Amino acid sequence: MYSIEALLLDKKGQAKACPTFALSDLRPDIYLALSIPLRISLWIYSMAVNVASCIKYSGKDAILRVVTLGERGSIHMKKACWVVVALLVISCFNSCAVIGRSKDFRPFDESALKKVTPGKTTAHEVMELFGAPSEVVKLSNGNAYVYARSLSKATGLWLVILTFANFDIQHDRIVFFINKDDVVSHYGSSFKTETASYEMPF
Amino acid sequence: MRCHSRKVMWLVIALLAGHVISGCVSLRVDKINDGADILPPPEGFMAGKTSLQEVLLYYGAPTEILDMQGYLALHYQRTFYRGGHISIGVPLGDVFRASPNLDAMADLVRHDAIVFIFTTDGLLKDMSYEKSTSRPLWDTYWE
Repeated sequence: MYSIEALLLDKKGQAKACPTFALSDLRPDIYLALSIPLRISLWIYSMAVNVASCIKYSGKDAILRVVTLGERGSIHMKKACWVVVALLVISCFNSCAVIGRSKDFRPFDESALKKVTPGKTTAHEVMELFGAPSEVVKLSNGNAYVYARSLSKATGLWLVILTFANFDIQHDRIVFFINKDDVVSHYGSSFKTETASYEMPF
Repeated sequence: MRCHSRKVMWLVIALLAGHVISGCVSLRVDKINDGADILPPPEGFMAGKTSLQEVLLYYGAPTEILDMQGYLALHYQRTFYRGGHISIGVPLGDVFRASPNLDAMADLVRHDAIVFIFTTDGLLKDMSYEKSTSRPLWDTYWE
């Protein structure tokens, strides 16, 4: 079990501090030339820990040096340090996403509207088909029976100090206008609950 | 290695500071949409000609029905809410008497609405349409 430490050397052969990689099953004392992917990885990693000073030395003379655990006593300390940093970074990005669905339900069937004929269907038949109305509005020339239900979809996202919340509420409604003879004179319907959606507020 | 350790130390300090600040600063953005989009009335809708049944066929069931002493009003409405809240504070209440705190919030509720008024015969007497959601958010807020 070995660790590998990436050291970027300048042209004079002096080592510049760079991040440590935890790798295993690598032979000690092997010098590996930096390949392009490794160089990119090193660059990204270096950016992550803000060691911009290392980047200017990542030229042709830069090499990757493999060291054993015993070569530096402080290697465990560094590992622990990186673990702490990694945990802090992860905890900074902790977040929460929530989706919710709220339904105000009434069991009326929209297909039953086919059975309603203005001028024929009575108020009693409407209630047999659709049940008790959500609301009855008294009008000067009769009444209006209102059947309503709604669906609300909520989306929430918490990102440390940022919170985004979105609610989309849509309704299904049927209105029957009942004349003084207790017969349906007109009716109107709109079914929009299926259009409720989960989305972000931006 | 000293340079390396120092950089790690600063990174840890920065992250810890970020954690502390995250408990004191918050930004919230809300949006609530209640109802479907309200379309403008078609050109064919005219007072004295359009019937209650035609309006019901085009717009569906209204949000609200009102009896206006001899007249009938159908009201269709969509409500659109936008809200923002910023809070910056240092909770020192347990240590000092004063706890500096700054809260800023902004709410704007806009309504798209159309109202139709009918005579007792079921003929359109008057109508009015307003689409507030098409107005700019920022300018409308400070208007």
